[in-house]
Amino acid sequence: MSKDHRSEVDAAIDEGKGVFEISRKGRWPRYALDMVGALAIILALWSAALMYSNLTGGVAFPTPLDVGASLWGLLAGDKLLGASIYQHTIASMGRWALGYGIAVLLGIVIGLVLGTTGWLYGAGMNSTNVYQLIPGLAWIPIAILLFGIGNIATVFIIVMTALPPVVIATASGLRSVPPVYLKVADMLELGPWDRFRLVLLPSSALQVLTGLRVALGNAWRVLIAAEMVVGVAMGLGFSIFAAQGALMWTESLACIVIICLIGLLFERLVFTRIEDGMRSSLGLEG
Amino acid sequence: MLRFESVSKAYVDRREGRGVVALRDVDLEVSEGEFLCVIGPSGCGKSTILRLMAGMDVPTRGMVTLDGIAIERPSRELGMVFQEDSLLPWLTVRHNVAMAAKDPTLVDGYLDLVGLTEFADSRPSDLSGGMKQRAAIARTLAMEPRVLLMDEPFGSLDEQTRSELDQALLNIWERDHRTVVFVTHNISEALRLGDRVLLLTPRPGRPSRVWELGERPRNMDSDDMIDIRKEMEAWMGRCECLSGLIDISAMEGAP
Ligand SMILES: Nc1ncnc2c1ncn2[C@@H]1O[C@H](COP(=O)(O)OP(=O)(O)OP(=O)(O)O)[C@@H](O)[C@H]1O
Ligand SMILES: [Mg+2]
Repeated sequence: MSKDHRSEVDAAIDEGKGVFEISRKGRWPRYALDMVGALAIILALWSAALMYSNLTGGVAFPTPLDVGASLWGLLAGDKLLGASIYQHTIASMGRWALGYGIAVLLGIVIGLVLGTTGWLYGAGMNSTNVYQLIPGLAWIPIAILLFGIGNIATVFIIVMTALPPVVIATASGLRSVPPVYLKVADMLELGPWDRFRLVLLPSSALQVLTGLRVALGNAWRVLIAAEMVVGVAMGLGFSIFAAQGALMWTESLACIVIICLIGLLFERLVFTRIEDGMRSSLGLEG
Repeated sequence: MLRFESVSKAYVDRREGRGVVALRDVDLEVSEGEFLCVIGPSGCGKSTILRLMAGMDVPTRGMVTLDGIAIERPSRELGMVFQEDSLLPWLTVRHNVAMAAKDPTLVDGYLDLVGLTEFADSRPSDLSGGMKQRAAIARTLAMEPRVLLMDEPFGSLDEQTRSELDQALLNIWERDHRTVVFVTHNISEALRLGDRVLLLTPRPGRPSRVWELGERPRNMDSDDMIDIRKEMEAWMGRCECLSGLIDISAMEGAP
């Protein structure tokens, strides 16, 4: 590989070219290299776990090949605990969407109130910060006390863990609007709606998006954990837990892989794109 | 007429545990259609004067009035051009001007006036520093304010661009002779632009000298102009020393 395209650069200089093409052949794009690297690290850690398990002589640790085969089978339609992997995935994603949706709506409303009413801001932000310290699973007893075992309890736990990042991002986003934009709004005597639409919303949008992104990750992680405990009969978290109970270790790991893939999909494909799109529509690039 | 009647302005900073008297007993009149330049060393209260005129701050004592009515809050009558970037980056140049325009049909005319017709549909991030300030001026002109307040609008630009924009501003001003208060700490700029130039001495800020300048266009190399420039430079130099001395005594706890 020609480092920094040296020979092509030299040729262009010698030939007096202004703009020139560089070859792409034989070069991996950066993100592909990063992906391969990440995969290598994961496999290395996995091998370490395998070796350790062999040394201590416990139950045979599933190899990546075992898990791959199991994953393939599940994707091809093999049943796991009486349902297809698609049904489990849809059940989880349904709870996720519901809990996350409620958290986003509620969080944005609370954030708007905190961010626009001066006297509530300090108290509201402090209490949200404290409440954010409660680990997701600590909501389980409260959820069960309030709603009993089942779907509502799971959704409640998701809402509680996804809420704080949205509230904090919205409220502090509204608070960190550059003062000169507010002066412009005052000078132009903008009405409340125009002030919100033209100044407050666009200048806090990126920060809100970051909050939404953190919240999505929080929701997903706690969902999987909650499903293990709160007694639902279908879902990826439930599958991991129940498969392990039935000593189906390989399937258990296959479900973890699916969870990672779904998370990656949202993080990389959905959010990164929304953020790039938003950046350019806010005129923040370059 | 824009008027300061024994205006004082103090800021207190509770966290630092100290206060600053930014202006003390300032009397000032800016007549209709006048182009007033305010010069003075850093920290002498130039921006404070403009903020009070723009209604973005209220005096601690005294009154700021426009035609006898107290200025208490920002309004479309009082158009400010800020020193920092103040265009909304998510709107095109045209939209930035349009949102301020009193008469929406004149937006393109204002863009033309500042020479930005070709960039009407660009985002501010695609403009140079000088172009951004021209767009900000177009926005403020489009408000059709009674008074144009400009806080070192060209302060961050190089001398060449600055003098070009000064000339462009004068050309625009010549059309309707709107009242302008223009803050700068560049003496050449003040000499090019002002009908009157007011020097502010620092801490507490007070007007200490006023120069009336003659007809335009001005010959900067004429003997009169050279004399005035020398005098201004001497006064500015003295103020800068003074602000240094006052700083030290303030640290020793003087009132
Ligand atoms: N919001 C504020 N809080 C506390 N002190 C302030 C505030 N605004 C201005 N001051 C003080 O008031 C004095 C005058 O400030 P001002 O901004 O009017 O100066 P200036 O002449 O515009 O200076 P520069 O040329 O640096 O812009 C300064 O000493 C400054 O420290
Ligand atoms: Mg200033």
